[in-house]
This record gives sequence, structure tokens and C-alpha cells, in this order.
Amino acid sequence: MDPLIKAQDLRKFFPFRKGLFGREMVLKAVDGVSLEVAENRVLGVVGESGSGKSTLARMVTALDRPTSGDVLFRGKSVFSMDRHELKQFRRAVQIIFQDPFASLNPRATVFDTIAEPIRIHRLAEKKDIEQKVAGLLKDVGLGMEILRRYPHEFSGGQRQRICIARALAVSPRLIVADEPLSALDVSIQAQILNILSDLKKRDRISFLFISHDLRVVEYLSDEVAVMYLGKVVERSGAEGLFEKPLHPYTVGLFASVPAIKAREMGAPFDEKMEEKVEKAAPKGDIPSPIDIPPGCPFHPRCPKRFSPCDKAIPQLMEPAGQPGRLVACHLWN
Amino acid sequence: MSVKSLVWRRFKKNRLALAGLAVIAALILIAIFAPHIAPYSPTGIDVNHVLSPPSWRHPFGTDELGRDVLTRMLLGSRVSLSVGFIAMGIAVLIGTLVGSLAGFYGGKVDSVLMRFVDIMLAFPSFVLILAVIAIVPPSIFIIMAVIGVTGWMDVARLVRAEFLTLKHRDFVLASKSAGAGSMRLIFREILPNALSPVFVAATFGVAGAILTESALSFLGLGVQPPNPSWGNILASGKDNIETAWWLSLYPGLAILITVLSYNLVGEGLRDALDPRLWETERYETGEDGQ
Repeated sequence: MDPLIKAQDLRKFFPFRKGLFGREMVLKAVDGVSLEVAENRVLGVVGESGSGKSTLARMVTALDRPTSGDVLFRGKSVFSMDRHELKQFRRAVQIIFQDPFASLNPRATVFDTIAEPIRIHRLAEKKDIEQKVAGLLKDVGLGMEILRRYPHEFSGGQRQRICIARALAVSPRLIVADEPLSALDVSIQAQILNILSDLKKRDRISFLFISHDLRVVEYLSDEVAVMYLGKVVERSGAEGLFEKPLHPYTVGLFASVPAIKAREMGAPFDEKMEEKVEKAAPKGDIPSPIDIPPGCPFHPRCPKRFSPCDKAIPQLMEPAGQPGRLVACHLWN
Repeated sequence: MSVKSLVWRRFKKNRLALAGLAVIAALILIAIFAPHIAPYSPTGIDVNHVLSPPSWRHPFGTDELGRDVLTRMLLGSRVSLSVGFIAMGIAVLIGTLVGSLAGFYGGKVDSVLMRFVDIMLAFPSFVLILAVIAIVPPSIFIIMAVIGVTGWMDVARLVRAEFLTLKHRDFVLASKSAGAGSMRLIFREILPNALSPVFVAATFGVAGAILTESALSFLGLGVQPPNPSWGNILASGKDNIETAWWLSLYPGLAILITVLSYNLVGEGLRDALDPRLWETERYETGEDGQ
């Protein structure tokens, strides 16, 4: 059976020119990403900012055309769909954005915002729309007294709930969530995370869940793809990945988790742990996607680099003795 | 609280803009009820009182045919205000349409439309107006149409610029993801958020249109005598400026005050509609949600 959604070798390049007479350069935001999400599964996508996660989200939801590659929805290319098919696709796939302040129309009431998809797809009789909207608000923990209010009257957490209610209005099969928590306070993050996880269980919705927060991804995901500079460097079932990360970049990302967790829980400063984190965490900053290093894009920051790393680009393949996992690293090939 | 009431709350704080709004409101009332409050007939000639200075009988004096200047100015206000509104209405309509299409579709559509805007801007519009009026007989409707058709380019540019940034905003993408078509995206999602600068430009534009109409009438190309307009009263004043100052002063002041009021309201609106100032307002008044 075809997966619900499948990205095939997606690339998105932004050509630009520095200054009037500068040479033409290319920003490679996404560079050859393939992944699938099956029905009722959650694929977490992890990576630092600048790794191309948001661009990927916009292509998977057909809001942006890729430079090359394709997105297949139940086996059919979304970029060659006719009007009717595209409308069906829009009904099945929804997106939630990072910034809930930017993702609601400031001139529309909560009712108008949530009723819009219902009206577009004619999902309810006119007289039943209000009832349906109230039901959606209830699902995200909001009351119907807010129907006539405007986005600027709400806090970030409330707005994100409204965004989720809008996404749910069409009863989607897949929600692409692009860092839905990172603009929110920690206490609110947990509430929103619970809503999303309930949706997965109750409505059997699939998620493409993009985040830089590994703990959130661990909590929600069945599978995880780790992105670095527009490429997937490791893909695996969530359990295996969190038990034994293979790519040195993933290892580095994970090393910082317990320390952050401990710090947030208010644990006293632990010198040994801090030292361990310091050693494993990727050194320096992520390079600019305009100027991607030759060979393995991670090699300048990699603690385990050896001779082939700055020459050959490692391919994503199954390492020996690790069935079902994929990693793009010379250490494992 | 709606966006409208927020804008009004900010607008209220600007005393000058509020005064301008009051003057415009008064002028609109005067224009509506002009025939009822005017003491004389605007075309009633009184050969015994030619060019008489302001007095209790004629508060603004009389003109070279003995007609009451106050009466003619009251009725002339109808011309100025309606030309201002309707000309600007036409300009806003054309400008919004052109700007929306150019900004939303981009690419070739944008190039073609914006080159057309450049061509229109390269025309000295006053000369263009004069040329049109030289061909077709001047009537108030022709004047409105011509001022509108030559004055939409600024609006088009403003609307296009707003569309260029708004069309990539998350709320527009969210609506697209919900299945919204181009028309819904343009008119329901983007346009309502692109109108703030248009309101401001339109307010200033009304002032400009009033000035243009006065200038045309002053040159004898606008409203034709014996119908009164502030511009043609002013024109008759220039022939008698040494003996009858009231013929120039009062219509001149009326134009000045009206244009000034519109400009003050425009500036007040510009400040009140600036969405960057809303967020701070929200926290100041403690209306944060949770």
C-alpha cells in the first residue's frame, strides 16, 4: 500500500545574487530529502535552525514548489494534481506553524478563521457551522465565548489552540506541524503537546512533526529523521534512535538532552555532566546553507572525522548489523 | 474588542486629527443641507448690491453680479466634497484592483501592470486633465472621473507592496492550505490587511482632489458658471481683488480649512492604523489573554 505521504528526493534551491554585480549563488535549503509518513504514524523531523525543516514542511503541504523531486499523496504527485484532486489533498493535509501570532488573520474573528475551511469544503450546512466550530474549540480546550473575538486578544497558547482547531476543521489525515511549540512557554508547551498526542490516539491522525526539541520528538514520534543542512543524515524508528544514535551529529544532539532536562527540573549544577555534554555536543555553529562544506556537510564539526569525510558525500544507507535504520556517515558504511 | 475600536481609541488621542474630523463632519452636514440653510438663491442677481462688503444682510458680501457669496459657498461645498470623495473612490477602486493583481500574481502580470503604472506616472496629470477637458465638455462627472483615473497609481503601488509581503505570511499560507482559491485569498485574507495604508492615502488623496477641482474651476475648466464652486468664486475674486477682498478670502479659507482637515485626519489615521503600535497597547491595558 502506498504511504499516506511520500517525499521523493526533494530539493529546494534559492538562487540569488549578492549585490548588483556579485556572482550568482545558490542557497540549498533542502537538498535531496526522501521520507514517508504512513497512516496513523508520527514522523519526527529534528534539526537545528537552518537545516531546511520549514522549507520541507511547505513543500510537503504543496504550499511551495520544489526545485526538483516530488511529493506523493497516496501514490499521486501533488504537483500534477487537477483542481479537484488538489482540493481533496488540502482536505487531508493541514499545517500548523511555529508562530501563532503570524498564522491567524488579524482581521478575522475566531469564528471566521475556523469556519473558513468548513465553508470552502462545504462540510456543514450553514446553520450547523457554528455548532461545528464550537465542537472544534472544545476539542482544543477552548470555550465558545471566544467566537466573536479577534486574534490580538489571545495569548500565544490560545492562538496555537485556535490554529489547531482550524487544522482539525477538515478532519485531516495528516498534520504537518512546523515547530508548533517553540514559540510558547514551557508550561503551555505541555498542554499543546497533550492535545496533539490525544489527536493521534483519538482521531488516528498522522503527523509530520518538526522540532528542534528532542524530548518532544521522543514523546510523540514513531520514527525520526535527523536533518542537517538540507539533508537527512539519519533515519530510524524512534526507540532505536533514542537508545543508540548512530550518526555523530545525532549523538551530539542527544548528549545535551539530559543536562537540559536536569537544568529545567532545577537540578544543582553538575560539573561532570556539563563536561560530558561539552565534549559530545557539536562544536561551533551550523554552517550557512549558502556555503555548504564539501564532502560530508557535518565534517568540520564532527569529533570522529577521518580521511574520506571532507571528500566524498556519504549516502543514506543501511549500516551493517543495524537493520531497519539508515545513516549517512562514512563511519558506518 | 475589534480592530475598529482599537483604531478609534488610538485616533481619539490625536486632538488635531479629531478637530479635522469634526470640521469634515460639519462640512458634510452643510453640503447635505445647503439648499435649506442658504439664505438666498445662488443665482439670484441683485443689481442694487453689486460687490457689497460683508454685512448682516450678506455675511460674506456679494459678488460682481450682486449674488450672495455665503449662499454660493454653501452650495459650492457640495462640489468640493463630492468631487473629493468620488474622484478618490474611483482612484482607490482602480488602484486596489491593479495593485492586488500585480502583487498577488507577481511575475509577468506584475511587470506589465507596474510598467503601465510607470507610464501613467510619467504623464503630468494636470496637463492630461486639461487635455481631456479640452476634448469633452467639462461637467462635474467628467471632472470626477478624470481626477480619479489619473490619481490611482499611488494606491496601486501601496497595495502591491502590501500584497508582496502579506502573501507569504503564515495566515495566508494556512488559508491556502485550507483549500482557499485565489479570489478568497485576495479578497478575504490579504486585502482587508492591506487596506490601512490605502485609507491613509485616500484621505490625503481627497484633499488633493479637492485642490485639483478648485484649480480647474479657477482656470474656468471645472464647474461652469453660473453653478457655484469654491474654485470659480475664487476666480471671480481675482478680477476684483483690489476692491472686493471678501470674494477671494472666504473661498480661499474654505479650501484651506477643508484640505488641512483632511490632511490632519490622514495623519491621525496613519498613526492609529500602524499595527506595530497595537501590541504595546494590548499590554498597557492589561488585555492579555491568559
